[in-house]
Amino acid sequence: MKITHLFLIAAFIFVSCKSGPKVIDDLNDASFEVLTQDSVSVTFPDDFKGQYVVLGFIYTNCPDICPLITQNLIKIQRDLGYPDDIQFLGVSFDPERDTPSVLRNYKEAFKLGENFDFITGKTSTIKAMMDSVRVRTQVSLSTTTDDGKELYFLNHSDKIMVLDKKSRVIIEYGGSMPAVPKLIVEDLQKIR
Amino acid sequence: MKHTRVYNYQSGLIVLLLSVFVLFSCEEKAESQKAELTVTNSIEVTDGWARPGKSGMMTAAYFTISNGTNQADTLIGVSTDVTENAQIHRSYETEDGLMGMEHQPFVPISSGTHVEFKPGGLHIMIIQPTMDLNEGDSLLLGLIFSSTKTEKIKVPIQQSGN
Repeated sequence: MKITHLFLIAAFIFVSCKSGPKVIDDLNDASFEVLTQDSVSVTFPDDFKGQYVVLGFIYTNCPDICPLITQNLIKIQRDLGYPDDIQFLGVSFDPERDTPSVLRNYKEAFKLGENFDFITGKTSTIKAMMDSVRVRTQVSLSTTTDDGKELYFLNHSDKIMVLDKKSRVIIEYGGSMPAVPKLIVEDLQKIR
Repeated sequence: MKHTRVYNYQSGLIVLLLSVFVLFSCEEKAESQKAELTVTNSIEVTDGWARPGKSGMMTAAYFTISNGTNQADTLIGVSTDVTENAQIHRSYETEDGLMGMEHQPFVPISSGTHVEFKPGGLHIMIIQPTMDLNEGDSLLLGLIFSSTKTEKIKVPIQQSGN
């Protein structure tokens, strides 16, 4: 009886080790024509196949939570030693305001370098992309500035996810949480 | 019967331990609150910083307000030298798990307490600054209190708090 149990445990460990991280979602069938902050057209996720992709979802009119998400992406890239085989993406879910030039300014404010891009695109494309990665948004608060301009803000999902080299979502955490960089770095070090 | 007595004894012991734990926790909390705030007879704003941002975009400032007076006070407004548009906001999680933000018309600061403005919570939203806010620079904040006092502080622009 005990030998049987040991055998089952060993088999379980073997299968677990062989199977790698659990696939949360497979984005292989998805294809979105989007733009980087430099107005370079890219197809997501096809153009990133063969490398890991760490994605955070943000909008630049968000002064508090989205910078935390961006800073967590920055910490992950830094703590991994700026690896060449991992692409970092900040995807805006507010494409009407977050044009490539706005995203370029945002990238400059955070002093980001290579393998770290921001993504925007046509409203319909970004909406479909957000649906495919289960990122929700809804217009919440609006305020009027002193010069009479109307500003709106969004309630939004708080998420950082990792795609493997086959465009499968294998890691997903709350994007702004302080513990997330350490968790993702540890996960990536185990599976890379 | 014997088994029941043992069970009751264990329950009693657990209740006793929990009571002691709660008592010590409360004492420790009261102690830490006292230790945290030195009586200064003034409102003090410390640990201020603001995140870098580009002209026309959006960023935020953070700090801690300590009310060392014997009277409650309320933060009722904010101004800055980098935009005409600065507001008090709070980030929060909605019931359906989204992250949101709400305007705070005022923030009460009870006597002998401090209130932290920090990422993911209370913050000063700096709307469309008229200049680039670069790391290493600083900006001025004016915090308007109901006691008719305005605290002016200069905060460094940096990527995160200390």
